[in-house]
Amino acid sequence: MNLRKASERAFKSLLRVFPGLFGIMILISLFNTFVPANFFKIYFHGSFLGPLLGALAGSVATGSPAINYLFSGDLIHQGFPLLTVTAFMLAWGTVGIVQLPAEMRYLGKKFALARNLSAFVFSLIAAFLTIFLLSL
Amino acid sequence: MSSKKHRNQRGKRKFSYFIKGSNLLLGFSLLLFLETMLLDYGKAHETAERLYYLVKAMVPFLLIVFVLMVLVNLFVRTTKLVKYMGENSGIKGWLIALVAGNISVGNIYFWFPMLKEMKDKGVRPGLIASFLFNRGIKLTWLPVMVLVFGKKYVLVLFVVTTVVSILQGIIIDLLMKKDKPSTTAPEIK
Repeated sequence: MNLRKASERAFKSLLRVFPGLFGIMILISLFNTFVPANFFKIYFHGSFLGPLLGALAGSVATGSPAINYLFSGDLIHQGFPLLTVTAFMLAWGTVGIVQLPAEMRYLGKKFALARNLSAFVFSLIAAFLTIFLLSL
Repeated sequence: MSSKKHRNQRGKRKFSYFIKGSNLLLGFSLLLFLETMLLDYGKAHETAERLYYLVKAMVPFLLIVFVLMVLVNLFVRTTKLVKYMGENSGIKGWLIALVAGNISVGNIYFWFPMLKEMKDKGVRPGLIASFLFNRGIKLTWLPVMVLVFGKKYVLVLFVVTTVVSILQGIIIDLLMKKDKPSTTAPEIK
């Protein structure tokens, strides 16, 4: 592939992501205007349920990585603990409840279920490990 | 008659393009913003200001994302790379699963048929699982992640995800091993 074709392809990829990216930026700006920063801190601070709920929410979320990272960043701004947000972000990228029927059809029911379930568990493990290593 | 049918199909395709997720999200956000503008101009102005600063912070990082995407397009063929994850690929197989997962682009639905073909050809399910886990962290979008979370966090998360994806792959291999059909001929009684 030459430089022109590679650039065109990259530009098209970015263009495809753009509506969602701009949409989430508008939503984040609106949310930050109406909801004060650290609003959720009192609800999730020190809660063990937080990472679990985060991973569950991430498992059903779909969208491009850019939207995932921006949205997750805003969750921190709103006061969600980093552990919860990391579990959410990882589950968003690795677990696919919405895509599960297609994954079962192509890769087999047992594989798809085992993969998604283990991805869910490992998202939590990776989130705990990341926060632990950052605290050292 | 057939051209009318063709036009209808093209119209349906265009319509389905516009109602896809990301456009819906943009439409919904714009509607909310318009409503805010009508109800409380001051809040809408504040939102617009926040949006301006967010876009301004984002643009340089999007340029880096663009350059990374061009480089990946120029030098890596992920679809070809993935085909090297053969049954006895060993450490090379794991490395390819990790790298290909990180740099793979496109919708996951595009990858399923190809992964099925590879699984049928004998590629270990653990490598496929590891590849899919590593799609969670996209190398080309890392600049945006750094903008949001900072370098230290991204580095630690990247290393942890890599290690964890290998562990997941090993577990999936063990789980699926029991299902693997026997290669020896069945005993005839």
